Amino acid sequence: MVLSAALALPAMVGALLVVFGSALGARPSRWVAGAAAVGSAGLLWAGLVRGEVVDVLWVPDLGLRFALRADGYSVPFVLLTSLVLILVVAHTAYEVPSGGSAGGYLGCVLLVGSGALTAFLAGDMVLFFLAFEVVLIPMWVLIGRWGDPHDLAARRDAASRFLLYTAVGSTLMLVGILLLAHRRGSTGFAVDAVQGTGPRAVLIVLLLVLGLAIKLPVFPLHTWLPAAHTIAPTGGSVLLAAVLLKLGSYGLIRLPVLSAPEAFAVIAPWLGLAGGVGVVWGGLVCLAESDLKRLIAYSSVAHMGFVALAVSTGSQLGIQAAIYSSIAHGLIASLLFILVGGLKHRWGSASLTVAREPLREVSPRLGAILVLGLTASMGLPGLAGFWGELLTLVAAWSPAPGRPRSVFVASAIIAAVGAALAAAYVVRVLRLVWLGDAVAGQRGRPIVRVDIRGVEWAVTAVLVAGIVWLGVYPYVLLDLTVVAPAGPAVAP
Amino acid sequence: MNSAVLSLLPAAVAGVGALLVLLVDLVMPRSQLWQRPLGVVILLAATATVPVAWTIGWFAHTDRSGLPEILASIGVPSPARVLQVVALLGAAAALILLGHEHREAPGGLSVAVALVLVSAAGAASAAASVDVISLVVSLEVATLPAVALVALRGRRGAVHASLSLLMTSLVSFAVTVLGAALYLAANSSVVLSAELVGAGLDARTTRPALLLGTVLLVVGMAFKLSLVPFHAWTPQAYREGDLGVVALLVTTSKAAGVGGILAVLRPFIDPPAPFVLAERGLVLALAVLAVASMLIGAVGALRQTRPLGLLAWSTIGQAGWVLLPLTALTDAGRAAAVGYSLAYALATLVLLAVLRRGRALPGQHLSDGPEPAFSGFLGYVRRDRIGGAALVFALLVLAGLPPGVYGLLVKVGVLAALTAEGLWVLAVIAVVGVVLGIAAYARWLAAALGRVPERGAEAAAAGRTAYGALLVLGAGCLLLIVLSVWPALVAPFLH
Amino acid sequence: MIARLLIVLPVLAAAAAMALRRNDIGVRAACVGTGLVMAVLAFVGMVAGLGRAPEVVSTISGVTLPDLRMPWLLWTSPAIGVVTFVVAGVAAVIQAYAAWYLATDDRYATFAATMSLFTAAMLLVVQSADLTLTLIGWEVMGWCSFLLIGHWSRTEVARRAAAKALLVTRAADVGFVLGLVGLAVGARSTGLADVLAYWTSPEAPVNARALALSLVVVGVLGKSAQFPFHDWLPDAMAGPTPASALIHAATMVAAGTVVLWALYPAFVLAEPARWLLGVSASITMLGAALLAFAQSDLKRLLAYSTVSQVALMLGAIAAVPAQVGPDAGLFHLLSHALFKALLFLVIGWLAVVVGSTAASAMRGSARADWVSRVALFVGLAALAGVPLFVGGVSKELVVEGAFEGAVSPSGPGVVVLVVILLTVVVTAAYSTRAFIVVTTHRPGGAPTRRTMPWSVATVLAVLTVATTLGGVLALTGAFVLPSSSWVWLAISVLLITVGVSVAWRAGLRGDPAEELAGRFIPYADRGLGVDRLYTDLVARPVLAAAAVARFLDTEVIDAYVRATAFTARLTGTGVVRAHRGERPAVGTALVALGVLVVGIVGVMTWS
Repeated sequence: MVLSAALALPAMVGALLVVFGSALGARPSRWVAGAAAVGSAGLLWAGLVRGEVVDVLWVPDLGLRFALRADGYSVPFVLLTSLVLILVVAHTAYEVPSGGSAGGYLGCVLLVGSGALTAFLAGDMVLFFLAFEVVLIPMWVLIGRWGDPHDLAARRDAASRFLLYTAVGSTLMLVGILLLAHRRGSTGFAVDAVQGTGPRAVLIVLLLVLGLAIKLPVFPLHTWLPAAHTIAPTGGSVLLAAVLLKLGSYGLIRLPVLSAPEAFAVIAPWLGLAGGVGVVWGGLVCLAESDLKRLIAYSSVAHMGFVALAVSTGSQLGIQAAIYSSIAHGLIASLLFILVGGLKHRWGSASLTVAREPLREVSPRLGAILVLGLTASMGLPGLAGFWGELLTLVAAWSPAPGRPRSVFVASAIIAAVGAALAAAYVVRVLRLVWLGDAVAGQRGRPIVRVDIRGVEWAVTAVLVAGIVWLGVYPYVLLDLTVVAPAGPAVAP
Repeated sequence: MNSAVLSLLPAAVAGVGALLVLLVDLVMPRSQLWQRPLGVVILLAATATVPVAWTIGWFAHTDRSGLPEILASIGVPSPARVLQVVALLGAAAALILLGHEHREAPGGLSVAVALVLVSAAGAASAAASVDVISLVVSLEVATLPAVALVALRGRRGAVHASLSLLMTSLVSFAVTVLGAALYLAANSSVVLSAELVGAGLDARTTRPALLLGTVLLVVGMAFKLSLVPFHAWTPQAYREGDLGVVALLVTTSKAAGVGGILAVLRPFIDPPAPFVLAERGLVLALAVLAVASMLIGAVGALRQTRPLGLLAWSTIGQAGWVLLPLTALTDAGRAAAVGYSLAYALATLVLLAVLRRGRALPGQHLSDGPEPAFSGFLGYVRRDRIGGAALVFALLVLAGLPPGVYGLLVKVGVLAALTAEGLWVLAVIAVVGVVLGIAAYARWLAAALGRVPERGAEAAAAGRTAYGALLVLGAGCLLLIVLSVWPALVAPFLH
Repeated sequence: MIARLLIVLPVLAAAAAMALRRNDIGVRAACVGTGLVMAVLAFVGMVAGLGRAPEVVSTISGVTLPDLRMPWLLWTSPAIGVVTFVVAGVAAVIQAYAAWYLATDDRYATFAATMSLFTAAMLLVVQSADLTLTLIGWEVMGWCSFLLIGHWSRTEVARRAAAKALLVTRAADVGFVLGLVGLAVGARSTGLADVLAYWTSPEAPVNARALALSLVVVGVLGKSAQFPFHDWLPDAMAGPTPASALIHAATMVAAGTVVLWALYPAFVLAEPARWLLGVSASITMLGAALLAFAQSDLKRLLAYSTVSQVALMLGAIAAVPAQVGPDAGLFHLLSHALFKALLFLVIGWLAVVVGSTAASAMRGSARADWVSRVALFVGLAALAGVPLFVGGVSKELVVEGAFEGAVSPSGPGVVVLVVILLTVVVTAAYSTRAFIVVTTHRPGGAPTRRTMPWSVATVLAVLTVATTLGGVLALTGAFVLPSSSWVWLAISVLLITVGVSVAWRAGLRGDPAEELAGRFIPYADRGLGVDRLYTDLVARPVLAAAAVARFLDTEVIDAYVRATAFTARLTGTGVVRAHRGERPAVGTALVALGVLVVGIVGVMTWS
């Protein structure tokens, strides 16, 4: 009951805000949305602490149950989503993107959050898919309506690209889920894994992996991501990075890896290789990209490459690494997108080709947080990104039995090279933005000497605290994921 | 009394109602006010008889004395009842949405209303048919009024469209009759019975005729459903018919088609013994029709700039979706097909009602001029909250995206029926259909959710409240919401 | 307890410095004060630990994952105790120096905090008994070096040097990380004891061990600025002098020595890794010494000298046989830490006085005050390896170790020994040159006299004393050192004499470098164009690949996506256009076709 309420609260409030938000005004909508987000988080916490499980038959024809439950794998994602939701709502106090009322914007944000939370808590595969789809339309509206106001065509392109690309992925996943459910005789997650590597089992896994790889995204299925990230408003980018991509990693773990491990092993080497290549690819593009927001988006592609590699190893360590990487990326990318959004707000664009006064001189605090975010992104120890990357490499070096070790070691080496590229693009950005390697010729508009403060400062401070905490104190997350059942979840 | 006979009760009510309307018209030929309410009341009454007939039929199920033995073995399955309800209530909605120009048409409103009632009667009877002859006849009764209704608008384009519709109807009638003849020749009976079909397929001599007959019957139904390549009439008819006629086409005439196909396929879906050999050919034929419709309809819809064009082409695509689960030839597939038809009919009705509200920019009403393009719907959600919300919701049901959960659930049902029978290739192709469909609906959706244009907003806001449209819209949305939250409500009736 | 404090305290000091950054006195108190406290603590720890067996210190409790144990332990031993003390002491002294050096800098707080963090990272590496902790310290040092070198980010040179340092070391770290991962995976643990136990056991796979340790060596070569990664270090002179002193003396570049020293039991069994290290160290040792001799900038001279001296440590570790052990290399580390810190700080002081570090500008700069003259003499004597100075003692031990290696059947001992002996000559020569340059008569008269602040004087005095007497640390018994022999001592003295006299003779006529290698100086100043090689062989290709990737991403990968959308739209247009004609005939024709197709399909598949 508590869990259902925790999901219904943001959904209801979100829907109401979408419909009546414009009448409400910015400040009241923010308070309402904030109350919903915080209330939902509180209810979730209560539900998780009580270990609540919901299980109601919903669609008898499909055997679909409205089943909610949490285990060690889902809890990190649930908490991340709750936190990010609150932060995104709070961030509107700093900036409400242009394009519509604040209420509508916050409503869409809450709907995205509610859908994602449902997906992470779902105990039924089809329910997972449904929740996966719930996120689509609000996010599409966020991008298409509240996206970058400068370029209508780009906004339209990014929004529809996001919608259609993701729909391809999720529907492929649905076909996989249905085949899997038919094979297992139930749509629940908590059923024995499919054994064997027959062609049908491989087909199931292929569909699932393809679908989720689009969501993650894995190279070369990633081209929706940079467009969406670049155009989306700050909050939308944050939700994309911290929540939507995580649906991909969570789904990969929950569906192919745990539900059909043997068949997954057949295509895992390809996924691992794609992950490794993605790390390098993302890093390379980041070295040449001239838009800061787009650059951060491509760095997400690189990070998700690590997740794909970790998942593909199929070992418990790999799963833990994938979860760690995902959560870390959620925090880091959120921070970076908020910072870059703030910079775009101040600069009027996020282009790196415009010479500007170095942040280190102009806004030292903003500069310092940017440095922290970027170094976390390149996997510096003491910050969240490190553990995920390290554990991924370890997992890839010793994949689960039955997988070709050479392929995984090769992928690990590729990924490690990609991590070095991360340092290169981080240094590039820092030199351009923070240290002020001004490009000769163009001059940006006179800098607004506004350092980070107020709500923006508070939001980033929370994220910084999370990044540092995960960096220096990795136990909580590692313990949480280590006690999770190796097989299916706990519910009936 | 037998259930098969009882199930004709709704059709009878509607048919008698049509006569009643014409009779009353004789009495007071001038008035244009009573026809619609009377028609709606008759249709509601007919709808009310569906559960009555059902209940009585259910109680009387064991009593089959006095009937030919073969007829007695056939019960009308409950999906047919659902289709009857769709046909009758859809016809009621069509009456409500019928444009005012029918007042000026030859014969006035009375003829139009009578035609709608006749069509509903035909559809209700088609869904309940258990033999080929009554099926063929009731199908024609269900569809020919639509031809007349399109023609009644009297415009040049409308005449063209009705001619096209008539041509294809006639050809389809010919094909259906040919199929029926072959069927009769092979089975020496007109009854659509599993035992007879099984026996017919077992005998080498009768098998080709029987199979070809079945396929031709399916083709005949394909016209009513506007399946590719029998769809050519659809865009014209939708463009030229008024909203009420379109509503009739998407509900009553669709229900007739689906009911017909279910009747023809019933022997294969509930067979006494499996006949694998025959199924393969049939499945392939169905699959070709379904996939072609789904994809071609969707890509056609992709290029439309006006709502009715979109609805016409999306009808073709959605018809593919309705047929698709039937390729599984299972009870689950049938349930999925009927569920899908239900979602489709409801959502399209809501969209038609939104169009009838006529709040699109630049303030034109549909009857006055050309229908507005999508750009006329810019910022529609902001300008017309009720209509906007309904528009978005209905489009999402059609696209199969939450919050149009029922639309998504029926899509899942279709795919589940396919995957359960190992038809995963079709399921994967359907993924393309899903995405194309979303892309097509997204354009209207994007306009409606977009920013309000600077000019013209206040002009459109002045639109007159069409209470009938509001009623259809409200009822449709309510049903869709209820079904989204509680899909188990109709689930038992789909099997 | 002390081991843990030594890591936590500087981190806290760094945090405090950042928090107090507007208050210079507070920052100074935090960083310098903590530095001194740490030096005292480390001293106590060293004394307490002498003569005791190595022991393990727990930190935050470790984690045991299904496939990997991560105990996260530190350890102490007498040798580690001494190294810790030297690192902490040198760092404290440099912090004190920096407080003066950067007194007027508006970002002193950031600098001091970074130095503090840097020290913490180095102490973590020194005391780490876990590969993860080693990696953490290692990477944090790399990052801190970026910040320290790039401290004066208002100049292009500093920005470039900082980026170069980070990128070069990070590129080599690919090897380091993979090597550590390989070691950890084999042992199913990141604990040093487990790793060593597994990889020294007879069942350890030989090739995997060689590969993993070779990869670790690659990382070490990068961080320690060894050939072919050496070129970042001379450029790093663009950072403030205290940063250079810290990076060169006690921390970053020496960290590789510590890591290999800790891994030595496994490393000595990996012949390819030993050769890789030995050959690279040999090339670096002699090459960097020659380049040092011909530098026209004294700070860069010191930089190349560091490269050469670190090569000496690493060469010793590569060369020594298992029965001797790697402690000679470690001892040279701490000896180098003392004298190199001294040299940097003296040169830094003189450079402040004359306003430049160029040899021509610094000519005679030390004539004015005797403190720097003495300090310089002591530092250079130790660098040259004059016996009894700490550098002399440690170099002697390295030579002995290399000799043991040369006569043992495996390892690159012979190569290393020969190169060391040659390097001793060159080192003596450039040390002499540096002394001559700074103390000979200045053409324009003595520099204007500046009073040396007491803090600088104290710092120099402490380091001078330490450099003079540091050799006694060898007597603490903390290190397992090769026995010294009079023969090698005599040979060393002879070689040093040769070097000194060659330089001295040339010095009578002017700068020895210009006399002996005048035409070589421009090349040496450019580091033989290695920077250009980095650019042409690595940076340019990578950037080209980046441009290609970006192009492919939008024009090829995404083109498929766009093509799909385009095809769908095109098909749609075609379909719609086909229906445009309002002729019933079209419909009928389609119908006929459809009936035919469906009929054929139905009947064909029936049979």
